Amino acid sequence: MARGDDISVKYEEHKRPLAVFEGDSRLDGRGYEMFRSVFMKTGTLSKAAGSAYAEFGNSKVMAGVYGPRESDRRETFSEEGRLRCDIKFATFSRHTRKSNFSQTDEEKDMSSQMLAALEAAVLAHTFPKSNVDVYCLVLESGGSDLAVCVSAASLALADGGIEMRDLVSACRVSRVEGHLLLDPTENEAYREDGGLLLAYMPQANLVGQVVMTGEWDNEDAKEVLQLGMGGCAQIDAYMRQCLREALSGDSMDE
Amino acid sequence: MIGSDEKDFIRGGFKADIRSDGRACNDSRPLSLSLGDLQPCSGSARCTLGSTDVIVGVKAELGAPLPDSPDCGGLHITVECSPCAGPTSQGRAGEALSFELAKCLERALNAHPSGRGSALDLRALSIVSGRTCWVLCIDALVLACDGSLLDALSIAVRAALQNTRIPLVEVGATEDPDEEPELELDDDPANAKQVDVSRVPIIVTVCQMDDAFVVDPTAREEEAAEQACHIAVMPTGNVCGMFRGSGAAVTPFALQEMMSLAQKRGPLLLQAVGKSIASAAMSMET
Repeated sequence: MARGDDISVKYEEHKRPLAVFEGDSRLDGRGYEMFRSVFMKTGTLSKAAGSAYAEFGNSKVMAGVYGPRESDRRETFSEEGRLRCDIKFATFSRHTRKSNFSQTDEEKDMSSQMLAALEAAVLAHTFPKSNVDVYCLVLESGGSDLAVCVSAASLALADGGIEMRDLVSACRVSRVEGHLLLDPTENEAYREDGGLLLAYMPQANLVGQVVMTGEWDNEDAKEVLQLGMGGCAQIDAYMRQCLREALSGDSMDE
Repeated sequence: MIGSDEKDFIRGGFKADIRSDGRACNDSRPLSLSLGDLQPCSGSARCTLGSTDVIVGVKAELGAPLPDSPDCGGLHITVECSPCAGPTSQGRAGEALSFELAKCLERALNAHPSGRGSALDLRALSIVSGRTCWVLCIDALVLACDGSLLDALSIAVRAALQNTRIPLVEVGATEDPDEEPELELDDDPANAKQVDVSRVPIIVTVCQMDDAFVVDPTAREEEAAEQACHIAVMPTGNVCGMFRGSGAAVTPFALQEMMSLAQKRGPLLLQAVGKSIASAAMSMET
């Protein structure tokens, strides 16, 4: 057996809580339409052109932006700039250790969704014939990982001075037992029978990416989109505050 | 790749509600279906939508259910784009496209690995709880690609599932619950089970260009439009999945418009599919 394959067996299976509600509130005490505690910071990586760290409860993500830089020789010529996205999970990010070092299907899928969300915002004609690379590393996976990645990546792009139409913020909504839960934890998302991932630019009023699963009738679909847009607006406000603080901090240093 | 002049021409057509092949914005291309073409499969269908051509084979195999969902059967979807299908399906780009198409189909059919909110009743595929179940392997091959791939794929998947026959399995009684029960396969086709497709959605691709919304776009039209949305619609008209392809951002208002357009188109398209399946089944019998 090659190194990196399953070389060990876990001695205990991770047990999920059986319910996601405790009376009228969620297991962590939040209301249905509340975020976990949110923390974001820019300029966390010194080597990157732009970087950000985001923490939504237990979901912890690092994002780094490199470029604009020379495009790969292997790639076909493109007059417009090209954005590339890569999301990776750390091997220790989940209860089950990720033993496979190559890109998993989930990472591939998340990367392509993040690309669609950011591509809609980034003004690619401002960096012709070159590449901007966005890398996200999920340090701890606690649910709504993709939404956290997209928000962190867009903050990192802004930090790196890449021109965008607007900041992209993203959030997830899960429907569990008929309740719409904003920013679900991993356990809540596991119990969902319908979900929404929305990447939205609140100031420009544009949707960058939308992924809806499960059955929704007209009213429910409208309601969940509204809730998602409201959630994104909250994250957007936090991101702007975070960028302003970073700027005022810089001027104080000088 | 099309030039900017051709893009302008196509966009002008959208505005004037007449497209280069003579259709109005909310007309579909002719649809044809044939069932049971693939002998080695439990069910199969080939769907042509204009010059988009896909073929889907379903194989029912025995497997073990996931530990998290012991009462559910399995669903495994792959899509392969033949390299001769079109310029977008060659090499690396083709691999990425295939992967994305498979993910979209998977999301529309089975929202969650546990089978909750699933359009396909995975519980009906269970044989012995926690031990044995049917795994439906849905393998799609794109033969020719001329836009609205997900529409054609979802129609073919629905038809192939309707065409699928799963053999009846009898579970022998065991005294000890830990003992592996004996399974007896009934190979009489008259006793075979059908898959319930009453909730299986079809995907409607809608393109937007300013105020114009276009259904069933060709590959050129997809390229000329600002962006495209894929919306999975159930026979009831309820939405059961929405995914945006790459392209420019969309306003929430346009998103709602596209959704309601898809909700109108979906059931109509499903009727057409139902008719095609019925006539394909008729021609199989004669």
